[in-house]
Amino acid sequence: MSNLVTKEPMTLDDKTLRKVLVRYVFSRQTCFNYETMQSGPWVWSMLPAMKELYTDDEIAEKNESYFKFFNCHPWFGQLILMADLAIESTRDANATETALDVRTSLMGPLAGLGDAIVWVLLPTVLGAIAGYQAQQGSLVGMFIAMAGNIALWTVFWKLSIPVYHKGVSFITSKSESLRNLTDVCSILGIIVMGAMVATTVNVKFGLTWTVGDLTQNLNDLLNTIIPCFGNVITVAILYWALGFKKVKPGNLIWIVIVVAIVLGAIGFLG
Amino acid sequence: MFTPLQVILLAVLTGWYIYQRMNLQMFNYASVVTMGVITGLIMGDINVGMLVGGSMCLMSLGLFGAGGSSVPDYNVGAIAGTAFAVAMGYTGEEALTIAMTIGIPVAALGTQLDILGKTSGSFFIHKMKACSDKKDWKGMGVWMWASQIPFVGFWVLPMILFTTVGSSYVELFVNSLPQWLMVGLKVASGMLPALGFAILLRQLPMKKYGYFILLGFVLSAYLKLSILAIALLSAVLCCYLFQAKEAQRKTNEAATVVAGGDMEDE
Repeated sequence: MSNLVTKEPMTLDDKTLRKVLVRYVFSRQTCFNYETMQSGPWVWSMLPAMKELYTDDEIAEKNESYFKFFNCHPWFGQLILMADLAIESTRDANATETALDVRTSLMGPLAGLGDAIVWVLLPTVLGAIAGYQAQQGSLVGMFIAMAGNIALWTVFWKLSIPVYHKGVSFITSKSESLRNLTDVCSILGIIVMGAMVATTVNVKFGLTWTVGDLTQNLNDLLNTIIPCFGNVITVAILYWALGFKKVKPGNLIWIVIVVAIVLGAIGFLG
Repeated sequence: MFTPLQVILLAVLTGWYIYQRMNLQMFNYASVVTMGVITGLIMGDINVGMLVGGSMCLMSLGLFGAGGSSVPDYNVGAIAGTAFAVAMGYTGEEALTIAMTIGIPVAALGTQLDILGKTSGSFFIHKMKACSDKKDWKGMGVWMWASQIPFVGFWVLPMILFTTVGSSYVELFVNSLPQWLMVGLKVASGMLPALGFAILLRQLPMKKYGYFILLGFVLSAYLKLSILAIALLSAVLCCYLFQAKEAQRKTNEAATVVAGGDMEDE
């Protein structure tokens, strides 16, 4: 960072910021890789703004820093990008260092919040409704889910440029509230999961036996202990299995398929 | 089995979905239903599309790749399943069984394709860095977008192959499947949603708030409330909890300020 000097602060106009935003939302996870994850499109998206603030030599030097590891919820990523551009607009000699600190410290917590609301809560609830309705031959649920997605997307879009103008404190001053929000959203997610275990999973035991002239069914027997026993035990086993570091979801699905086929073929499940 | 127009439309649909799922993300909610329905429209039987899309959407709930991890992809499973079930002339429940037989393995393979795509990204990020060092901003953008060629191509190419030269093999494969395997896949389709939920629960703070899962289970399994009703009830509870937590935080902050003030007096 030797040849960076402090210059007069500048304010980017909304047109430039919108150009950065458009670039980012269309490209944000292109060039995804396991070394730096989402950093590639970040650097490319910043360019229109950086060109107004710095010379090419300075940008090349700054890019080296911005190419470092970045991974966040993509929608919150655009807010952090705007916050970082606000820092770069100060044109301080240490601006990039500060901006990277902000990026690194925000990406973890905001990824958690984004995952909880944007990827867990809403898609699960809306997806369940849409799925059931589609099975019944109605597309109302699908359109509601779509509308929900677009509406939330628009909220993040509208929030982005204000983050630039109000600075990063716009997000960080509320960090305690954001943590509470993540917490309650997680609780909501857990409650909904509990409901889905009972309804959406469908694991039934096929075993029956006859004692005298009384035919008993394992499934009915177990369901008198806990309703949806098969569902509960399946989720519990899979949850337990995922606790092992070596178990990857991508491999577990093959195991589930094979186990289901075998248990289905011998009539234990049906 | 597929007309050239259908082959092209299915390839475009697959490519568009893979791109937008990662980047634009404007149509991700219930996208499995959408994919089934659009494929149904392309193939000329929207009812099968709805049935397959709806069923696979329920299996996909909770699956999301946190922190760049890869999970099965039922969207492409719904496209492939619907396309082949309709092309082979099945309707209704029968079409659903056929679609599941094709769609579930495709969805499971999606994990591997996703990993492959993300691994290929390393090559392009190094090209981008090299361009940046040479201050070649245009080249940087070109290499970034070029990363989408393998990333999307890993999905589109098999889709084109299977809907053209491979289609008769798929039909042969499906027709030669023994009954027990079909039964097994039906069992699997009931079991697979559990995987999504287990993955999701691992992301949620189960150690701290895990007991809440009982609330949802009781409302659903014993009281037979619908998902929407349970979601709305939980929303009320969570709003209250949020207010309580915020009030607690404000009291704590006030207490700290008062304590700080006392220190100054001394």
